Parts: sequence; C-alpha cells; structure tokens
Amino acid sequence: MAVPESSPPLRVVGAPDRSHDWESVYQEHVAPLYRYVFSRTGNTPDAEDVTSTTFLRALPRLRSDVSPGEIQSYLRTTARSVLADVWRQRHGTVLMEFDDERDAARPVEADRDVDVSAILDGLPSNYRSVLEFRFLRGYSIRETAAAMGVSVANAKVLQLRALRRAATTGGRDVES
Amino acid sequence: MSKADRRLTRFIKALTEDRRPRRSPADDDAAAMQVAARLRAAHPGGADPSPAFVDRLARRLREAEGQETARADAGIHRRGFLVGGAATVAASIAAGVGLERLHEVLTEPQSGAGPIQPYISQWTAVATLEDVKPGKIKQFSAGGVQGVVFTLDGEVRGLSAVCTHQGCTLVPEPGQSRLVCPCHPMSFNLEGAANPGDYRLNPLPTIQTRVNAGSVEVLVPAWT
Repeated sequence: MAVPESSPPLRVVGAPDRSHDWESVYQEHVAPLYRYVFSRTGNTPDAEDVTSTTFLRALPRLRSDVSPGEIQSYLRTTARSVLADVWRQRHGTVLMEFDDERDAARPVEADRDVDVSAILDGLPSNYRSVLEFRFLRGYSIRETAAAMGVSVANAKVLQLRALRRAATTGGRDVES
Repeated sequence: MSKADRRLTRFIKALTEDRRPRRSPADDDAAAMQVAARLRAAHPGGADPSPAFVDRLARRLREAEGQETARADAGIHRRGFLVGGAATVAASIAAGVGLERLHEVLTEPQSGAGPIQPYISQWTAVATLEDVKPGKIKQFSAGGVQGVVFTLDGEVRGLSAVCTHQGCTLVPEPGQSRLVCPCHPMSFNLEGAANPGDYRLNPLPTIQTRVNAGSVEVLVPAWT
C-alpha cells in the first residue's frame, strides 16, 4: 500500500512556511518509519502505537529546520527508545539491536522491502519451509503441516526450532 | 512442550494473527522473537501503514500542534494566571475590579482541552460495538482515565467523564445525549462543550478511540 495521496506545500527557499512544515515532513517519513517499527514489532496494533508515540514525541523537532537525514535519524532513535520501552515492559528485555546505531544511519529506501533472505539462507530446507509458510504466506499451523506433509505436532515443534536456529545465525543482524 | 516452548508458540500465534503479543518473559527467546517480527514484516503488504492510520495520526499531530501554538500565544497571560491564581484574585480585589469581572477571572476557560495524550500509552478495549450503538453511552475506567465512549455522527468517540469544574464524575443522562454533573446543575454535550449556564467551564478532554476486531479501544496510559 502506498502512502495516501497528499500534496505537501511547496517550499519557497528562504521563506519556509514554518507552521505547516512538519506536515510534509510527517507525510514523507511516516511510511518508512512505520515499516521500520513493524519489522521490530511484527503486528499492526504495536506498530501503530509505537509510530504514534514516536511522532508525538518528535513533533517539536519536526518543526525546526533540520535536514531530512537528521530528521530520519532522530525519528529512528526516538522509535528505538519507544520500542525498547515496549519490549522491557512486556518481555523484560531490551534487545541488543536497539542499541545498534547503524540502524539510524540506514537510508529510508532500505526498509521498503524487508529483506529476510539473510535470515532464511543457510537454514536447513525444512526449517526454511516452515518459516516461509507460517510467516511469509500466513499459513496456520494446520495448513503448514498439510503443505509440508507432517503432523500438526511436528509442525509446531519445527517452527520453534527453525526460529531459534535462525536467531543464532544472523537473524539479529540483517543488513540489506 | 516446555514452558518456554509454549510462550514462544503463543508469541508466534499472536504475530501471525496480527495481534499484540501478551506479556511474558522472553528469557532465552528474545532473539527468536525478534526474528519472528522481522519475518512477519516480510509478509506481503503486511508492513505498510493503512491510509486510515496515517490520517488518524496526522489528525492527532495537528491537534497536539494546535495546543502547542495556543499555549505559546497565551504564554504570558497563562503563566501569570496559573502561577499566581490567588495573587491575581487578591490584586483584582485591591484594584477594585468589579465582582462581575472577578467572576470572569475565576471561571475563564483555560487550555487543557483536546485529546488526552499519555506519555506512554496503550490501546485498551473498553466496550463492544453493541455498547456504543447510536443513542447509547458506555462508561469506562481504564489506565487511570474515567471516560465515556459513544457514537456521534457515525463515528465512535471518547470523552473524559470528569467534570472540569470540581472533578465529579459525570453521568450519562437518561436521554443519553448529555453528560450531567452530579455535584452541580451543569452538563456537557457530546462534543465535550459545557452547556451554557452560570459557569464558564473548560470543555472535556477528548479520548482517542478506535474500533479493533469488534471492540472499542481507547488510548490511555499504559498502567503497569
């Protein structure tokens, strides 16, 4: 889905209309930031909450006259701290990656398609299949089991093993 | 299956059903959970914001921005009033300001209306769609917020149910189109505005609402 149609006001160099500037900044950054947040939360309700909180916190900064690169990096940093709050509160942990400064420096376009080949490559084929069916295609456990020709109980165990294996082999550090 | 297995299974299930995972310790599975989120984001079309969300957030930001501007415009007056409320009253009397003007000073609406914006917030289900059928008003208490949800102009809305006069909890009127204060003869309409009367009261703060899987959810503080 694309960002909804909008017509950000044209900026006259040297005479920016400060009062509406943040809206065009918002329209430009909301989708990339949302995709970034979604890839750290994996579900819509959390992705919407974290994105909202991030923009509300960052709003004063959006008004000021800073470069798009700085805004992006500021939004990423803010989002990471909100994500860390969510994870700490819900799962009692802060993931290493949230401290990774490289994320903030990555270009916006890099998040357009989430590249998961680094996660899947190198996994045994049945591990790879179960993850593709469950996550990429959205199959239920039952459908996954049928597609793979294994029992439901097997598919359940397989998805856990596959995920844990992926976590030890680069899943935490995906660079596109 | 071990306890950790069951927890990770539930986590996966929540993501594949696009639900918020429930609270549970990650222990050794933090990295596996993170991989699950990454994979889920690669689900076709799964990681893009809905246009409705983008619009809703733009509206919230506009409201927050509006309050900010209003505060800046009224800066000096506001600070003077809030910091020196009693002093202002004393000074007004000393200066021989008429009682009518004094009444105005005391009851002048201040900012503070607009949506409740908790610092750390979460969407919490407080009603079903059945509860907010046109003409009905549902009271709730969640995350330290007392409020009501209802449908107005085809839209589910939320309002604080705390009177902006002395903090009494407002009650929906039997006719269900007003919120009535039990303490004084005052009421608010469903836009949150105080109905004209002897007092000039602040409007009720609004509460962000959304409909999610048949439930009405409100944005309230994440109460841990």
